[in-house]
Amino acid sequence: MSEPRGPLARLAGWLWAENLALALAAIAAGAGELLLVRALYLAGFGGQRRIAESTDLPLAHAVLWLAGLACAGLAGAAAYRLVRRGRWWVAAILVPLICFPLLVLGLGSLYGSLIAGAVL
Amino acid sequence: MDGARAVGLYPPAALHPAAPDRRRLALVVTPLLAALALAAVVAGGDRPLARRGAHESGRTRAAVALRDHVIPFQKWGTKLFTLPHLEEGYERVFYLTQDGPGDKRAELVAALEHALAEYDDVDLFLLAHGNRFVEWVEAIDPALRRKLRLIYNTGCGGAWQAEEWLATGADVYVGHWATQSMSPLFYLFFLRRWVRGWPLVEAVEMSNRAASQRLGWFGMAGGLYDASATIFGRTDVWLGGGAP
Repeated sequence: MSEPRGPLARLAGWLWAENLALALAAIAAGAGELLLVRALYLAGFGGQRRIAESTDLPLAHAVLWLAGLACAGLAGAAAYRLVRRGRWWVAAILVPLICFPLLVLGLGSLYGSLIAGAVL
Repeated sequence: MDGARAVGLYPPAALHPAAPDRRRLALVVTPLLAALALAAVVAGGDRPLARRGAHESGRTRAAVALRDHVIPFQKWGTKLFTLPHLEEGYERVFYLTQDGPGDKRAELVAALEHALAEYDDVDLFLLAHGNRFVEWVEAIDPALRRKLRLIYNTGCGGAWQAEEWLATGADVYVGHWATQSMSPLFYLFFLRRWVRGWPLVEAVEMSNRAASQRLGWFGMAGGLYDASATIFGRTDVWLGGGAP
């Protein structure tokens, strides 16, 4: 028999059992994207410049793409998991209130990058 | 010891009967949700645009853009959006961001003088709150200023400066009347269409409509926050030169 796990492991187990782990990861990805964007514009335009001027645009698009993909992918996977396996009332609350806004944020980042970059 | 607890599961499996597998529903709902999210993004922003024909007209052109001293996020966003679009439409682009009020006066004048000396048409984009940059431009040699073509000014109430800007020698001036104009919304639609070869009149009319519609969603259309712009001077202008 294995040893009892700590509270964090039990929490992770509970999140997974309740099909909430992906939704939580999507929230973390969305929050991470916003923090990365904030760090980026402060590094470029927040008084003392800390990144080269030539990297303003490539770094911005890299963040929008990587974080946007992660956020959209995790939000989509979370919605799929909740609808497929979650308790119906949990899915009914979390899919429209958490998964959908995060999908908008993630896909918005990707689309916004293409629009801002004059690709579309 | 309870087996479920021993492997970290909570609640114990015995109290948590297996959920039904709604695979088909999930396969339908997830792509629909993603499509709905993308539709919301496109509807809230702008649709993809194609270029309108070739931009070569035998005339060379340069753009000068100045972003005023605002919060870092606005400086970043303006550069992220403006620079690639200007680089798509112009052979030479000078992009400046102020680091303080009144900053970059010498740089703006130098960029304009250089562009006016080297290129047939020079467009100036003033991405700033209410401003008096017209006084900076008036210091440039009038013979050079004759090559100024389009001046676009996002500044609130900038439309009141139309006569002064046209007096500098510019062919056409586009400005906003409202004292707290949400002109960046207009600019988002306008710049994309302008650099893709839309006639100025068409680009401004469409951008006015699109910006008003978006503001209308929040009850802010018209009045104090009106984002509409007005054209003063020549109206037969497009990116490549005169009438397309």
